[in-house]
Amino acid sequence: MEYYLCNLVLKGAGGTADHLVAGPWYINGAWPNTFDLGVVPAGGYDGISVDLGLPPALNQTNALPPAMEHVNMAWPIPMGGGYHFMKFEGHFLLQGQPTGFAMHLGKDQNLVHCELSQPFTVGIDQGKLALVFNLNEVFRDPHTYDLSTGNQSMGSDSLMALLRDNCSNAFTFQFLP
Amino acid sequence: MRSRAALLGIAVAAMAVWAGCRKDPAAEMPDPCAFPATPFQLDYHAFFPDPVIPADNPMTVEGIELGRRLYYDPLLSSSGPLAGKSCSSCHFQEHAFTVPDPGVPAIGNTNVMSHCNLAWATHFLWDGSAGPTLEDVMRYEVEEFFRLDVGVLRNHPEYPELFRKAFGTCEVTLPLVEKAMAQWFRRLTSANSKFDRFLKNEEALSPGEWRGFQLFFTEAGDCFHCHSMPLMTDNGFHNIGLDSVFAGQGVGRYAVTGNPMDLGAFKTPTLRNIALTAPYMHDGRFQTLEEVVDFYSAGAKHSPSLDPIMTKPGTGITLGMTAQQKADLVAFLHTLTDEAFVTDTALASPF
Repeated sequence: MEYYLCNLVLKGAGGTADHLVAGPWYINGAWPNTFDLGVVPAGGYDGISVDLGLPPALNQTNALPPAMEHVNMAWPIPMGGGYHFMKFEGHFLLQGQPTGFAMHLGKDQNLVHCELSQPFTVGIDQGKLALVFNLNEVFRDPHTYDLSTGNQSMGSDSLMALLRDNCSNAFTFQFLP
Repeated sequence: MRSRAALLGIAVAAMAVWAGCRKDPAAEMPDPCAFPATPFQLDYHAFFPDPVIPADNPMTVEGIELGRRLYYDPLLSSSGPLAGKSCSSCHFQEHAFTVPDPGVPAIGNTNVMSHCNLAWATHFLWDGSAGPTLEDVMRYEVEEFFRLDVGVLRNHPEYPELFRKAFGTCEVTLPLVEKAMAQWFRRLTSANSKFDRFLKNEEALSPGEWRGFQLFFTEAGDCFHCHSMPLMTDNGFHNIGLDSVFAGQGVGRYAVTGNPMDLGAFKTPTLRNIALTAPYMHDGRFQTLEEVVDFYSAGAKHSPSLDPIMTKPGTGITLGMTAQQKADLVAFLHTLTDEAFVTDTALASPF
């Protein structure tokens, strides 16, 4: 499981300004992932928004530093260039037989925007924002995703559109003062 | 009492000053072993990732030259069961530092991997059991594989001076042998194939090569997920469906991790210079690139640990390529040959 996050916005409330941290951040499910949001103004917030993927300016071949994790996320030039926004691979049971699936998402039009409304208050001390990606939701909300007919998404704009919609509902967060 | 204490204090202070002014005769003597090694800058494209070079083993001209000599010198094995062999016995430059014979008994009939662009690798051997750094691999190669008696080098008429120049020390130790060899392996960089020149707009691909390029980097061939640019490997491990039952060395990465999902998974070999590195696969079962492409087109086998990428849209596991597509793919693979790499005299035997 690999993906990028970017454009994290803490939505200010009651006079608190919005706080944007652009990223991007490469996330790999094989290990814990933490990133620094810098100095967040104390105050009340209505929630957050975050994008899964890369903004168009960075979704171009060789736009990211040539680190190994980025070159392995490259979206091939003959398929438009840029980067995979997400690689989610595994196996599912099809008629009792383990079968592979590869949910790959990319292309500018499939940048996933997530709006997460949940009030929280940031104090003057350090805090943490725990972002959770619920993988079950990738396959069920708002579209029921049928792996038996769509176990590979990368070559299909329609399948990637389903993933984009579903991933927008797949995140939750918790603010830990 | 107060006055004695004050005097004592003055005496101690005076002694400290005096000691500080003393000159250490030894400090004025030049270190007879010191040598200012020449930093070496690895040459590679801007689109290559940053190589893995430990801070305690920077590349130097002298370190690389020592590693080169050790690579080609049978002295490395003189005290072990492989006496008479050097690295170069199974890694020929003209074959991109591998060997055209399938399997070498000394390493259990596994196919010999190419020594190419290992500066960017993090796990080594087909099952990834060596590493994660090249220095770790060299520790295995020098101490366990070749079983080097370092005394052979210490008593050699030339090696001690080569170590002095490489590391600025009169000591010859196993860790320094391993560091020098790691530097040499990082030097084995291939980045000047026709495909590289195509990427830099310096050379065009033929129509067949171009079609093969399109196959390689789209879902039609779907090679790129594991053989990703620019190294043409993702440094990962995959079960590509060679077998459906796994035993012995065929268990692959599972032997290291114990994870059933790693059964039959092997390290993705680089495809750079692949036309020169037959036979293919971990056990050398395919003799030609055509056989390899035939396998991907129609021969993959199901198993619970089959890599998800090998399952094609519709849950099939074959690509069903036409004869023309297969020929085009092979033509593209030939563009990954780096003639400069296999003829560079700086990489050849110094003997």
